[in-house]
Amino acid sequence: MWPLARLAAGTFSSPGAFLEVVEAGRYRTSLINSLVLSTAAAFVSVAIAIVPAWVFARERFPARNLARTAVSLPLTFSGVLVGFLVIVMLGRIGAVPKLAGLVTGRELFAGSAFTLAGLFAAYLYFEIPRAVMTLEAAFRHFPPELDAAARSLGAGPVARLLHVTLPYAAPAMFSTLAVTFSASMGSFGVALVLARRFTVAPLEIYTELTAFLNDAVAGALCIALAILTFGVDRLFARRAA
Amino acid sequence: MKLEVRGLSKAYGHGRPAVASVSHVFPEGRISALLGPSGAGKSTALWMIAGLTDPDAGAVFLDGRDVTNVPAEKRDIGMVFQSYALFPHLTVLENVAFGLRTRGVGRAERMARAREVLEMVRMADFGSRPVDRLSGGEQQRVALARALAFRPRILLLDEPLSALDAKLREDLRGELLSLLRALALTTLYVTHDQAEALTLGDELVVMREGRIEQTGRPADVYHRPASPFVARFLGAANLVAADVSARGDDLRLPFATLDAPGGAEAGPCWAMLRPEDLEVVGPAEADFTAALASAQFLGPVQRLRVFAGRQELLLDVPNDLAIGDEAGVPIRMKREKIVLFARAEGEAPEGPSVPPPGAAVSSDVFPRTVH
Amino acid sequence: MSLPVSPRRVARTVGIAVTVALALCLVAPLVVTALGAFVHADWYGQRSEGTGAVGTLGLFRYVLGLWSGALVISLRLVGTVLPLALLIGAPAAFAFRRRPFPGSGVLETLAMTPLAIPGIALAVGLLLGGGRTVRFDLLVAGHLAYTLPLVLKTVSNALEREDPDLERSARSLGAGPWLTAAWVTLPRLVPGLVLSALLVFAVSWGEFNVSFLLATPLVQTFPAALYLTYTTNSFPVAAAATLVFLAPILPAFLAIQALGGDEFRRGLST
Repeated sequence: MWPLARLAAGTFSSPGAFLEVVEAGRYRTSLINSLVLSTAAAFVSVAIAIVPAWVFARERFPARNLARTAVSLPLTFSGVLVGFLVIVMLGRIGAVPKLAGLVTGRELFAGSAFTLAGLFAAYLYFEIPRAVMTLEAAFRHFPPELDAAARSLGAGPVARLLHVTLPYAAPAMFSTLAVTFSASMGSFGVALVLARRFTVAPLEIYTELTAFLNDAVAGALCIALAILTFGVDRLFARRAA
Repeated sequence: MKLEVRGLSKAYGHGRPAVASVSHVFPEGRISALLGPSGAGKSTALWMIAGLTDPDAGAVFLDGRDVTNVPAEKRDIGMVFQSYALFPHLTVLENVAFGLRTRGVGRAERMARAREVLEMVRMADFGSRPVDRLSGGEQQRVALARALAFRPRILLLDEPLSALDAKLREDLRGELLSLLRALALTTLYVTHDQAEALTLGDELVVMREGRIEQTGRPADVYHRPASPFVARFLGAANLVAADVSARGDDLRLPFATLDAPGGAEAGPCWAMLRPEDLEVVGPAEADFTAALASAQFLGPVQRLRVFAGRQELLLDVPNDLAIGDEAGVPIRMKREKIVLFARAEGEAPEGPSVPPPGAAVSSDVFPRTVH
Repeated sequence: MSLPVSPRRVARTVGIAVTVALALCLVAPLVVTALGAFVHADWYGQRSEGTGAVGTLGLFRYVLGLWSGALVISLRLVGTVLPLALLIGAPAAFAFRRRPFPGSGVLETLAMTPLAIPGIALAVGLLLGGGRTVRFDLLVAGHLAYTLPLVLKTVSNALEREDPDLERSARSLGAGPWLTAAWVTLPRLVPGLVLSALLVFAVSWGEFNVSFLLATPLVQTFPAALYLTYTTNSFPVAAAATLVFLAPILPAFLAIQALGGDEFRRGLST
């Protein structure tokens, strides 16, 4: 509780810089970048997470626990670490280009770690595990007779997915979207490591703070980021459970 | 629609199979009640007929066609689940119309037909309600409407009333019966409640440990059970260890000897008589006298617990009969109601209270707990 | 119309395949990193400082030598945050759940807020609020902001799963409130407490936002040191440093999984 008071004191000391934030192109770009990337990453990670979450919740197979542990492992990783891992795979001398080089003779994706795609991949890396775990919990509560009832009424697998499973899981999916969105909006470590040729909000804040010693702008950016995050989060949360 | 199963089997790997080679032809257009204790395999069999569980062996035939490999969604069956399984995100009307929707019926028509079916179950006013605001009885009726909306050719019901309390169950039982009779669909009704099965079934299929023990009309199964298990499952039964004489003419009970029923095999046997088949009479007409242990007023009848020698018996007498503490109650047995079962020497009846062999008391005279 | 394989089995197999593929994708970078730390640098076309022979632990010794200061600081930090978080959080959760007082709802929500704010904002707030100086207690405060909610949540969940009738029956048998807490509630809470301790450890150990902002070239936590390694040192060294970082986390993670770590969902920010 006391750390909160400190935080409030810190960020509210710079209202005047707001105008600067809104008008200057660079700041707007960084905020928009963050927004777009985070939203896209949230949707994609939830979409990818659906199948594994369902499988974990309902099926038993030999490697299940192992796979589950593997999938949830990235939850413990700090942002910097994820950034590093992306470089490991997609940097100039990353594993993927090297592998591609061996197979096709051309080093595909070399250096892609430092593009928007790279940051996006990093977001996915720590969001998918979270999405899978949350959705799995929701799917586990899915009453099995519901699926059986749908089948008895003539619904094929696609129809069941669309009309029974997804609507049932919709609240959980929206809250997962909210969580993953918030996580990537505020993720600093990843941005620091990977965002070289473009900028996202957390990075801008950092630069303002340390390079330009522009506390006011940094503070304003923080507030703007917080408001954006909170706003979109509420948007998702309204449809959540 | 004709329904037949042949050699249907399913095991879940715990050793004992859930369903062990069940074969039966279900009468068309009639209600067959699948009755048995929990674990008897009746729900498993039902789900296999529905196509929701794959059998390990055997086949299911609908109208003569082998549908064993046909997925559940294509079998055109209506099913009501124990938990009703109504879709929480849809309203009552949308739930009922679901089966029509999957069959490609247009929105206007399916809503109209859904309303018709809801009228049939007397839930017409509930159309736009979300399902989580319904009581148990209301949900059950919606589930039924949903299963019937698309006019299936068979109806399967998996313990549909078991989630309700006793009074509600009794009331709905009657409603259900008239509705099902009016529909004249081939219906399979799974239950562990023998009162339900007796009331609703045109045919009774008694299952135990994955096998069919007996089939037949309720009255026949009740009066002529094929085994002590069936006898006790359908109601209270006195089982007395007895012997048939070597020449097959005498039935020797511990407290009386009578002419053996025709065709009785010589040797040890169980003689079964239901409490209503024993009556208190004047001393002249009695077969034997017994000592009164207790009298319970059950409402419609009085249930007496007596000891004939060391044999405990239950008998039902009219509720206004005055029973004093007479030294002996004169009792007569209804000869035509005696049923004999095979017995191994020294065998004790199965059931919760198993007396040690040779000891005084009973055979298990109390009905199985059915609720 | 009978099929050789039912569509359900096909769907199941595909689903499992997808899941396993995902797991492999997520694990792959770690494997590559581990390889990098143990394999000779020449494979990457770079000279690696401080290695003597191929595939030895030389790299690790080098890393440890380089960043021992950071390691110590991280350990000190975790060592301070952990007991504090537990000592404040657990009784708080108990108070909120078992003996709510007016305003406790508000307090609880307030305590949970740090999770909803972008990590960077929190860090900036701390930095500015603390006057731009690096102080140990600021670091602790930052870490507490993230870990207290975790403890609250975990212990609250554990408390909620406990039947309050247990405590009531203890009271009816004559145990006063403190005795009940000590003999009845606490023992049953042990798994929950252990779980929250592990979570606090994992979060605090890996916390980057606050630690990095409050770091100086001389004084930093290990995650901050990791960043420096990534930007200045060669790949094998970076890989080794990563593995050193991961070493305590992996067992903690496994323990969390074993104890039912679904509490993870909101827990860890980056």
